[in-house]
Amino acid sequence: MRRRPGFSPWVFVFLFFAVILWRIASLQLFPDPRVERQSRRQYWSHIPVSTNRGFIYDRNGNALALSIPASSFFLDPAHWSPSDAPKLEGILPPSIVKTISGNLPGRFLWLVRKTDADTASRLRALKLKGIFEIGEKKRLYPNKSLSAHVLGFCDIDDRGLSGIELVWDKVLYSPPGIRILAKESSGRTLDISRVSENPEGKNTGTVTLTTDSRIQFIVERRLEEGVVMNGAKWGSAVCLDPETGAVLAMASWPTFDPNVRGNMTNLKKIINNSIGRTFEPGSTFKPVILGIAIERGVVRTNEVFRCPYRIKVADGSISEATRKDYGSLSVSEILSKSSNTGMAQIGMRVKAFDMYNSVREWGFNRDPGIELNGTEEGLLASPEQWRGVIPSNIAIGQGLAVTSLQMAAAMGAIANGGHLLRPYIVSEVRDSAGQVVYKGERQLVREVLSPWTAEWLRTVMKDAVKNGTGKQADVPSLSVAGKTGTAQVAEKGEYIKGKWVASFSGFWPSEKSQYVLLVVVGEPSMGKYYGGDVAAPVFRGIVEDMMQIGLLASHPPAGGGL
Amino acid sequence: MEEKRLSLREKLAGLDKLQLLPVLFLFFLGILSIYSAGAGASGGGMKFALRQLVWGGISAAAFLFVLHTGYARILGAAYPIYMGTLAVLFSVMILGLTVKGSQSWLSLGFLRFQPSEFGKVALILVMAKHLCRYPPLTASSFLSALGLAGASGMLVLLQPDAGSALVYGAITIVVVVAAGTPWKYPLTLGGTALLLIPFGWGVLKEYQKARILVFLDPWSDPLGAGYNVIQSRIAVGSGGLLGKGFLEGMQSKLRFLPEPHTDFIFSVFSEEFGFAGAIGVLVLFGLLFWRLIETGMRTKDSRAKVLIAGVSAWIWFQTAESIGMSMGLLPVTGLPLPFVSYGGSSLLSLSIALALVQSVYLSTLKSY
Repeated sequence: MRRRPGFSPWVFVFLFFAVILWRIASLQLFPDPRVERQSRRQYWSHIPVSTNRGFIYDRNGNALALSIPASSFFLDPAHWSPSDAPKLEGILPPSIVKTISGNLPGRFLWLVRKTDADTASRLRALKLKGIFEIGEKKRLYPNKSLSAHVLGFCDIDDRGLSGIELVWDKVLYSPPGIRILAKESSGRTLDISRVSENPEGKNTGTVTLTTDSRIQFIVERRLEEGVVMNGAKWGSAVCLDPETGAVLAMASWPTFDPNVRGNMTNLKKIINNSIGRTFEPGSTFKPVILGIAIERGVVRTNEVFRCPYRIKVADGSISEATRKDYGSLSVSEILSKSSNTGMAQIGMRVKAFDMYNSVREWGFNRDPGIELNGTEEGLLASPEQWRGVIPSNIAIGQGLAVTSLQMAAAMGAIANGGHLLRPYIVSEVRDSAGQVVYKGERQLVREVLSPWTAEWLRTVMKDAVKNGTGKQADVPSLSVAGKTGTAQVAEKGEYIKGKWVASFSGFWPSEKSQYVLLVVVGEPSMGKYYGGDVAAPVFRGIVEDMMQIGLLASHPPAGGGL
Repeated sequence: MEEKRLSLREKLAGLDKLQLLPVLFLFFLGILSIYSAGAGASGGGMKFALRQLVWGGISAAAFLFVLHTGYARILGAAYPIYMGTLAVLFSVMILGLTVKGSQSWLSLGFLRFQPSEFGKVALILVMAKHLCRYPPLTASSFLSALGLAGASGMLVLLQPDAGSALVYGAITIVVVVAAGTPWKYPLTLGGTALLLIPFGWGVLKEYQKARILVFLDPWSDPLGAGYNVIQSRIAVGSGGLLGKGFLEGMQSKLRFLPEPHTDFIFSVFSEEFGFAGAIGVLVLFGLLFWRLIETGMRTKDSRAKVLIAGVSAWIWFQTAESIGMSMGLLPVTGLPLPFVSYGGSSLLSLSIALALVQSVYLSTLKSY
């Protein structure tokens, strides 16, 4: 021991002190920028929460989609004791309870977002350590399924996923507000009560639709009634203003409640059958074909055709749906009685290329240009492929596929004197500053009929309702014009026995129409399948209901529709 | 023994005040930091601080008792004490409570304590006696001393409590060197240990490997193993020159710092009291070491010299490791900062050790 110099233990102590001193100095006086960044970030834990999303209104200013306050709950695992987890059984989904029963990493976990008042108050009452509540905004569709397909829906963060919500997300979405987790520098409480409003976040854009919720309600209810009564697989209905092309109602069945998130995975429900489903129109298409033939001058309205039960065409044949020989029919009778053999003869007078071009000029096999997502263009084979029986099939509305909206727009052209208009559903969009950034208005696509031909077609279609196949659509006190359609459904190139699409398209009052309405009932299964039996009563129900609430004299013009 | 003639009052009057003062300061700074560490939303600060005060009282009583008994008498019972300690450490492995993965606690119903803390005192005592009876001047006596010390170290390592085992190792090496073993023996031992490092890597548990890897670069796993290291660095680093002020440190209040009132107490302290506070703590420890070594050099009793070397090594190693770890200088082990960290067993056994040193100091007063 004596060999050790007295200062030797000090060497170690000093060495250690020197290193520590150097380290403390470098840490505290010249901190690592990463450390600074991390510390800034973690005290002010930023949680993005949904703020107001822009409202969607109908033409009368009724809110169809709005934002309401809702509570979300999150967990801070550092303050959480997993033994509390069983208390949450029955309040939160079992999967969440299971997750939080064990040890969790990290500092943040959403327990439930935008929950209902009942769950929120039960969670609040438990007063469990580590569970925090945050106020958010939640999308609410006050009318539940009304206009669901048009409005679409949002994800949990309020980003639009479909319909108007998607197409106009840019305007409706407002950036999430930031809730601050621990703001107080004393840090004694986790202050989450304050919202840092983003400066522009207070105002949001708005979208005003051309639809009228009253009509929408009637159309949806009558359509559902007709679909259910006939055991049909799907249905759609479109109501337009023939003078402007504004959509007054657009319905699709089956429908869904966009407030219930579980619905959104059911693709059968969320598809908008009015724009996203194509079908072979059948006889509903005959006025279009007749209009094309007359305008092209290949048939005169005073001609008479021999209409047997069946005619042979090339490799196939066309026969009457009613299985009877009509004898000789005038052109107008061919339409009102919906003679297939007569229409086939008329249609075949138009050259394939001409017919193809004209059908497309009527808006078929084209993007309809409406402000919605998920629109189908339909199917129309190119004329090179029109061999054999195909041209005559097209003449009776088979062998091509259209959407309900396209069909309704074409009917609108007949109703308004020959002007094919672009259908539109958004009348006005304002951004968060209140500036109008979009205005939907009447937009002429093409003159498809001369006024005279249109007038003539209207008269014939009025007769079809009064005396022809569309009798069940007739409303005695009103002059309704329309045309039934009963089309076979093809699958893999073959028409399936017993599968039909029944439709009725029409407009009223026939002299100066205010409304165009198309009703399609897909694949009825309760015996009736004729458009006149299945779709026409739905049409009539809608017309009557609309009359009952006084929607005939005039409807207020859509905001931008003048 | 001559010091027996002094009354307790006389002994208290003769205490080394310069040694006692920094310890009391450190203890009260510890109380403040323990309170602050638990003062956040998590609560518990007052509870821990009060408990630590109670332990302070118990420790003071133990201090007086040991001081009154005198180090020489206790050294006389060193072998039985050590044997008893080995027995307790062994029983911990069978009866002990498992806390945070380590079976190192014994419960006496109303209180729990960590025998490995008292084992440090026992180890120092037995080495002081043994090394003076059989000086480690030959390889065989060197190895037998190591074997004697290794028995307790091994039991601690098996708990498993690698951190405490390291303290045992540090104490052993220092006391053996202090007892005058030729340098070649510990150097050979150290060299062998270095050579074994590559093999030792395989023996380490996964979390131990991770701790060493994140020590080298904490940002390699910032949310996993590196989390503690980074959070502690943030705490120390965000203190700045003068700190954020008492109870203003967010790293502990918001539960970013793990184990704020025990392992990372220095981080809590330096966040709130800054560079100046940290220097203050170092000065207090410096004062303590100066007095310890001063006493060691004054005494003529070679057993006392070894004893003081052991106590110094113990306090020094834990201080270096605890502070070093909170600044990312050393891998995380979870050793308490002497006198400051929350923990009754640690405080009590340190008080016993200091009482032994004070007792040695008193004996030097009378020797002239």
